[in-house]
This record gives sequence, structure tokens and C-alpha cells, in this order.
Amino acid sequence: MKKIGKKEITLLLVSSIIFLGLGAAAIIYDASPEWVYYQSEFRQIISENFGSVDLNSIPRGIQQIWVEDLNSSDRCITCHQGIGWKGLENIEQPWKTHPNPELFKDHPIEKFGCTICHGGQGLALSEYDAHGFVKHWEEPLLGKTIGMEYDPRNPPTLNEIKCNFCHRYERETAGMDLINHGKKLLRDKACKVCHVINGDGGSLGPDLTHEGDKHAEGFDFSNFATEQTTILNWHVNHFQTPNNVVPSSIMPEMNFQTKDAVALSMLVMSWKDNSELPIAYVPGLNKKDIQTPEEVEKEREMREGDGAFFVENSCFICHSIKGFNIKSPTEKGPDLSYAPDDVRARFSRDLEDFIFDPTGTMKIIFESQIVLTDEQKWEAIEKIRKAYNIVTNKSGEDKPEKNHN
Amino acid sequence: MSLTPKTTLWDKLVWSWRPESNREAGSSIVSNFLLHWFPNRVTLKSLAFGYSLYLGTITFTLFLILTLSGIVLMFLYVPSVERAYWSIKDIDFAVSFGWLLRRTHRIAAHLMVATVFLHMFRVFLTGSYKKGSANGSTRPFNWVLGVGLLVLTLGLSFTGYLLPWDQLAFWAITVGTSIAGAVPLVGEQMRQFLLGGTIIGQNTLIRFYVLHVAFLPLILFGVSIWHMWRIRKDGGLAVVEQIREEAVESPPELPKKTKTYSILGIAKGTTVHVKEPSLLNKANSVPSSPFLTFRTLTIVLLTLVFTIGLALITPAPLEGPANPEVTPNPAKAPWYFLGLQELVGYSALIGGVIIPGLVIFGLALIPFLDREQKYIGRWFSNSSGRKWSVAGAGWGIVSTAVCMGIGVTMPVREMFPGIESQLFFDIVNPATLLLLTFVALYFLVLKITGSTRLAATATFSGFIVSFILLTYMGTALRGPNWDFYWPWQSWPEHPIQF
Repeated sequence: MKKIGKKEITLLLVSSIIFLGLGAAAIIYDASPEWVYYQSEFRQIISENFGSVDLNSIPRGIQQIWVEDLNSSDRCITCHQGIGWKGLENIEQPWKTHPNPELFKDHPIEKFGCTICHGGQGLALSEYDAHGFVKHWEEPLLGKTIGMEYDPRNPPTLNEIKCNFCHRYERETAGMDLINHGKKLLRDKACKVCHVINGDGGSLGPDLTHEGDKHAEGFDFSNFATEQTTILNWHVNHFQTPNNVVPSSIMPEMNFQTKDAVALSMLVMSWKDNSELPIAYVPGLNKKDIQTPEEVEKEREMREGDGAFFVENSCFICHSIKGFNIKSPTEKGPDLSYAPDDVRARFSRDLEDFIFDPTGTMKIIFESQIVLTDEQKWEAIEKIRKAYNIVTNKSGEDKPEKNHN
Repeated sequence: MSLTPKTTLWDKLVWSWRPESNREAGSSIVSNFLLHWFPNRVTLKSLAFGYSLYLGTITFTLFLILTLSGIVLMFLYVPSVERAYWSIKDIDFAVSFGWLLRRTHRIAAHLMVATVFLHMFRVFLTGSYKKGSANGSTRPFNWVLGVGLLVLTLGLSFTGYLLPWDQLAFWAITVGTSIAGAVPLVGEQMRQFLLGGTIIGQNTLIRFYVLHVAFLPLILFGVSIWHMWRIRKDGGLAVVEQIREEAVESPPELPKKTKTYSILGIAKGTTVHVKEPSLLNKANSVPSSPFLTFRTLTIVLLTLVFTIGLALITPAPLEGPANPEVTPNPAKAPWYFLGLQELVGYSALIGGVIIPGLVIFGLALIPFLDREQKYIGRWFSNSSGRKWSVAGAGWGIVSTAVCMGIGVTMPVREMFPGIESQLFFDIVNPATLLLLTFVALYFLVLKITGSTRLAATATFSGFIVSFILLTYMGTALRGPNWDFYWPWQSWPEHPIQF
């Protein structure tokens, strides 16, 4: 009777052991991600700095901010657990408090997440992948590390590029010094003479409205002297010496300093198509209905003229005041310019008397809708009399009827 | 022996039938499929590592690994244009063992394509597609089934390639399907049928997904079961023919007393081993259990170790999300099509349609062209087969290198600047020349030796070498703009944002 060879049995045993070893390695690797370490260190830091805090209130496991409007899920807070805490300003990353907590007032973290402002790969859970300096991830974390590569002594605040994704229509935005500088240069050098930007401009140069969306393949690096073939470098070089980068270019050399060129490069790189952003995220947009200049002027007069009091206190909703050129949209009540005569005719009372002790509809309005102080009531009486004087003096003359039609 | 009647609920649920006599008990063993997975005895020649290299077993094991990992991935992957890419990111980053699942699935898929090719090379070079003298053998047909399995495997790999919905996937499938568009007359319709539109979009994704997870695997599973069952019905591995030849040459022994029975009653006739028991004796064979079962276990385990080990050290790449507006440079098809893409660079019609068509058709026809019933189950037939095989490989190296050299250094269009006819360049180009050198090789060897087997061996060896060279060229030597780069030349660095 033949037997199975010893070599084959050894082979089977060895491969079984290797198989188990591989399984164990996979389990150990999967069960010990970086964030487990960071979270346990964070608990340590909290118990050292804030002894009274209940450690069970600190969340465990993968954390993420899901912003439906931006279609983003940012898991940065899995490791950066301290950003919302006060008192961890001097702790090292990733546990540090956010250095600009005042930004959260206008940018609540649950509505913005992290990557919309900082860049990086929000879905990833290891530092290397999440900070995004990996092949095929085009939006790395725009922090100091990457800025140092361009200027080690005075690193440009590249993440302003991310700010301007939303803030592009603002003339100036607090805290965005480089982009603001770029926008000023844009106006001073009249770039729009040749380039269409945001829908208007000349046609000598290409449309730059969505320049930031242009992919690396779209840039010609063939005349590039430096080793760093990055889009930012391309723009900086191109702004300083357009002809060296694109020999056929007719763009004039403007003698930009490096700072100017960096600011302008960041500006054009921020010009990405943001039409999918919900409108609430885009400041500086005209979100009002369009009015004719006459309508705008009329509204301004009503708000700022002698009758401003009646506009502010909403009287004009029901009452026109011809004397101050105020026209009520509803005209439910009589014109207040004639109130002194009107009150006497209908109630046989003085205006002052009626205002301080009204009857009918006005009683309800003054009690619940428009509650005026005594001073305000006197102001109203005084202004009504003024309007009365204006209309009664004018009554013989040409009445400005046309505005009322 | 007392036979217990089924009484409990459990008995009724798990076993519908219980033997009530010793005869029925014996019969239940005879008709049990699992107990007849392997033949009773297996020859030592079949068992030898060096003969089959167990490439078929490895391929099927890889298919099972792919099925199991694929089923789990189906729970995690969303086949939609909006979600597909991001669900892969989640599998990589957040799902427990998701990274390992995806890596294993990817590595096993590449390995399976490779082992299917290697298995085909082995079966050809050992002449195992020949009918032989076994009663009821249809080995030539099983070879055709094998060619079908090769096509199915490529189809599975190709459809799976699109699913991550990244730039690599999108453009590989764009290049791959545009090859289909080069077919005359019906090419564009075929391409649109594949894509479900004029460009790759949601329609393509759902088509490829359903093909990849349901349609193709089920067909591949069915055909591979058929393929393996045919091996049993064809008398086992072709190497057994050698034992038969020896038995024919040696003086006949006295007939032995034996019994025959049919398997399950579903197969016609009887198994070869039963019918010709005198072929197998204690000197040339061993019982399948434990020898073959143990061997199978070892092979399965080694395949698992190799695949998972490789997966642990090889991250699965994921490029940027698919973007129809940005073409990566160079855009390449999956690696096993890069030899074709190299030829498509010379002529889409020849490289993309005629050559692959001839290869698949020619492969399927091999057992019907080479009908010599000699040297079955022997690597390279004999010493002169070995010689001609080396000669064919040499011919393959030279002709492929010359044709690629012509393609790189002398663009045909520049040599004939006056001619504008596309048909002219479809006929006159390095790919056609390569095809003609192989036709010439076949007839040259046939004329010298007068043997179709030797002619086929030489041509096939040349084909293997040429396939490997072209694939290497398309993979490693073609850079941006499909320009030629030597291995020691670096490609221009790809620009990035920051």
C-alpha cells in the first residue's frame, strides 16, 4: 500500500500554517487602524486636561459629517476630535482645537463639513489617504505643508482657493488676503478687456470662468523649465512670463511680483463651476427680484424720505400718504394726508384724541399689530399734520397724481 | 445490520430517503454524486505535478474565490454612475476587510485570466486535445469548450473592469469597446449594443454589472462543470493514453473478472476505468482517496495562500472618478488586450478584428486541423517536436520584434504619403505582416516535416511568444501618445494640481 509522500504532507502543513498566518495578519491589520490610536490618545488628553469630563460622552468609532447639500461625507473628525473643544489650542495635531473657531459662526460644521474649505479626501480614514497627497486624488489638504513647497519662509495660504469656490462673486472677503489681492489686480489690470470672466469680458483671450476645472492634461508643460509640473506652478510662471510658457501667447507681460502671480494663480484656480452648489452657499449673488431704476428710486424715497416713519412702522401697508409720496400696495385704509379732516368727519373727534384712543379696526391694530409708544404716537401726529399741510397747500395746484396710477 | 427508520422531524427535513435493505444502502453509495466526484483510482502519471501543473484546478479554485468575494462585494457596491466610485472608496476605507475583499477579487481575476491562458498552452503543448483511443472520447469537443471558457473568462474580466467607475475603468472600456467598433458593417451597432448608447454611461454600467455578477458567472460555472465532467467521460487526462499505448504494445494479459455499473444512470455507457480495468494496476495507479483528494486540497490551499498573500501586499488601484471629458494619456485597455491594442495601433481592422477573430476561430479549430493520433499526452510530442517548438518560438521572437520595429521606426503612412485609401493601410501594415509570418511558418514546417502536429506546435509556440511580447510592449513600452519608450527611459511626469 502506497502512502502519501512526506514532502506533500509537509507542503500541505506549511501552506496551512501560512494560510492561518495570512488570516491573522489581515485581522490584526484591519483591527488596528490609526484612528483607534488617535481616539484613545484623545481620551487621555481630555482626562488630563479636563478631569471632570465624562469620557463616555466622547464618541467612539468612525465619525463623519454628512452634508447632503454638498454631497460630502467627511470623516476627518474621526481623528480630529478636538476641533470643537475649547482649551486644546496648544495640543498638537490631530487633537488640537480649530485655530479659527469664529469661522464656525458663518460656517457651521454640520452644514459645511471639512473638505469644502480644506481639501483632502474626506472618506479616507488614514492620515496618508485623508490628507490626499496620493496619486489620482486631485484635491489634497491645502494646509501649511503644501504651501511650504512653494515658499518655505512665507507659505501662501492656498486654502483660500477653497474659500473662493463659494465667495467668488464677492469683491472682498474678510480673511482672504491673497485672493482679495488677486481680485484687486484683476480689476486694476483690467483682465476682462481680453477675457470673459463670470459671463462678461472681451474675446481676445480664452474664457476663464471655469479655469479652475481645467484638468492637468489641458496644460502644455513642454516649455517648462522647472521640475515641478503642477498647475499652480504653470499659472505662476505663465502670469510672470506668458511667452516663455506659451510661445505663441499674445498675453502681455505685466511685471508681476511673485506674490502677485501666486495670488492671481490661486484666483484663477478657484474659478470652478459652482453651479451645483445650493444658492445659500454662494454669498455675493444677487438673490433679489430685478427692479427698474424708477422702482428702486421710489423705494429709496419711501424708505428715506419724510414718510420713512410710516414705512418703518408698516402703516403704509394699508394707508397711502400722498403728502410724502407714499403709495400703499393695498390701500385698505384712507390716505393719512387727509386724516385730520377725515377723523373729524367720520368720528367727530380730533386726530390726537383718536390716535390715543382709537375705535374699530384701528383699536385692534394698535393693541396687537402695531404697538406704538407715546412718543411714537406724537411723532405720527406731527408727521400726519405735516403731510396734511403739504397736500392742502398744494390742493389748488397740479396734483402729482401720476405716481398713484 | 439494522436500518433505522426515519422518525424525527429533523430526519424528515434533512433526508428524504433512507435505505431499507443492505442492497438499497449499497445502491445509495453507488448513486452518490459526491462519492463519485473522483474516479476510484487515479494513475500516477495523471497525478504528477509536472504533467498538468494543476492549472485547471487552480483556475477553478480562483473562480470559486472570485465567486465568494464577489458575492460579498455585491452587498457593498452600488451600480450607479453617481454612487459606484464612492462605494468603492467606502469598501477601501471604511468597510471591515473591504480592502482585502477588493484586493483579493482583483488579484484573483488577473490570475484567473493568466491561468486560463497557461492552461490552454499546457493542453496544446501536451497534445491533450486529441481524441485518442478511449471509447466515447470527445476530447476535441472539450477543447472547444475550453476555448469558450477562455472567451467567457475574458468577458467576465472585461465587464468587471468597468465597475469601479474610475478613469482607468472608463477609458479601458472605451478603448476596448472601440475595438469592437472596427468590425466592418455591424461594428457600430455591436458597440452600441454593448454600451446601451453612443458613450459609456449608466446604461453601460448596469449592462456590464448584470453580465458580470449574474449572466456570465452562471454560464461560466455551467460550462466549466461540463468541461470537467467531459474529462472523466473522455477517459481522464490525456496522459492516460500513454498507459493505453504501453498496454497495447505489451502482450495481452488474461481477462480479469470484474463488475461494471453505470454512474447514477444519467450517463450513457460505463466509465473507462471500469470498462478497461486492466489498464490500471497497483504499479501505475493509486486510490483517488486519499491521494487525489489530498493533492486537490494542497493545490486549493496553495492557490488561496498565493492569492491572499499577493492581495495583502498589492493595493488595488483606484484612479480619479470617471470623467468623459478628460482622456488620460496614454489610455490603455486591460493588460490582456494590450497586445491587441498594439496591433490596433497599426490597423484597427487587422489588429482589432481579423487577428483576434482568426486567433479565436483558429484555436477552436486546432483539434480538427491536427488529427494525428500520436504522442497524445506528451509535452512537445517528442524530441523533434521540442526542436520545432524552440524554432517556432525563435521565429515568433524575430518576426514580432521585426514587425514592432517596423511599426515604431517606419510609419507606413509616412512611407506612402501619396496614398489616402484606408483600405491600403489596412492591408499594408506591420500587423498584417506579422499575421503572414505565422501563416508562412505553419506551411513551411508542414512542408519540411509533413506533420500537421509539428507545424501546429511550431506556430503555437511562436504565437505564445508573440502574445507575451506584444502584451509586454503594449503594457510597458508604450507611453503618452502611444509613443515608444525603452524600459530604461522614464515617461514624462504626469502634472498634478499642487
